[in-house]
Amino acid sequence: MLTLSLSPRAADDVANNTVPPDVTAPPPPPPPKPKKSFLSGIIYRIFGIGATKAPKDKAAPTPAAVGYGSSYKVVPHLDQNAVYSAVHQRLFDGGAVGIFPEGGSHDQPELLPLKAGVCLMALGAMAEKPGLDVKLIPVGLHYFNRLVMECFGAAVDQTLVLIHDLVFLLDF
Amino acid sequence: MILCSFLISSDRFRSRVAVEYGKAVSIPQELVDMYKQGGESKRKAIAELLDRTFAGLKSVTVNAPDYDTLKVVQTARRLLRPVNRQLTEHENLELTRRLMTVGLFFDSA
Repeated sequence: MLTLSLSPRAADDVANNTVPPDVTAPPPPPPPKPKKSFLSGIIYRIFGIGATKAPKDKAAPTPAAVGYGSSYKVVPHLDQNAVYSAVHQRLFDGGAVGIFPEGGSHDQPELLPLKAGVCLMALGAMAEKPGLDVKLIPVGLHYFNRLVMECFGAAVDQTLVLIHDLVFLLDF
Repeated sequence: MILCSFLISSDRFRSRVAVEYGKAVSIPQELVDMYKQGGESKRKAIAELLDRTFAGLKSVTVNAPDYDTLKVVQTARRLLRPVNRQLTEHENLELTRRLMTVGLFFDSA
């Protein structure tokens, strides 16, 4: 049902019909496979969107209009290339970038598995500009508030500073 | 180890925090070359660098496998506190980390 209501043409059919569509009917033929990035490819495969943009004025069928089902939202693809290029530029300029590579807030007494983005940034910058020497400075923050230390187990927070030149450490 | 008095804790402004800097993780040229090749070797390069980063971060944080172990280690550290002088924050953290190593050794034995 999800793919049926989300496929490009099915949207206004469902909305205009007061009678619920025959769910036993064969699904509409899949639209041509779009050439897109990895993530939008996944979204396309799961939700069937992204191939052809549905017109904006034709809203998706609400449960009230259809008479059954529940409402849902689709998370759009987020382009992170701007972030990566900004980080690369900063490193090329000899700057430092502070990153929290755990990628989230938690109350575990142990480090979470790190996100790969920090390595992508470091390796990407070095691959883009030969001769650049990116250094990763691990930084631990230890808070002394008793309440935080003891109630939540780990009051540590991790910052990873990608640093181009060690001299910049003195600027902090 | 640098002690700053201007950073914030999660529930109180201007509380103390110890910022500990670890040894810088250098990125060898081989990893960059592997990254440039793309595909499987790119993945390997990223995984390898992630491992090194993780080890670096572990050296500047206190890591316990679970909450109970953390409590035991913190209690042991408090019992070990010398009476004639106060440990610096750096000594405290180092002691915690060493006790954690010992605790993990006996835990796995």
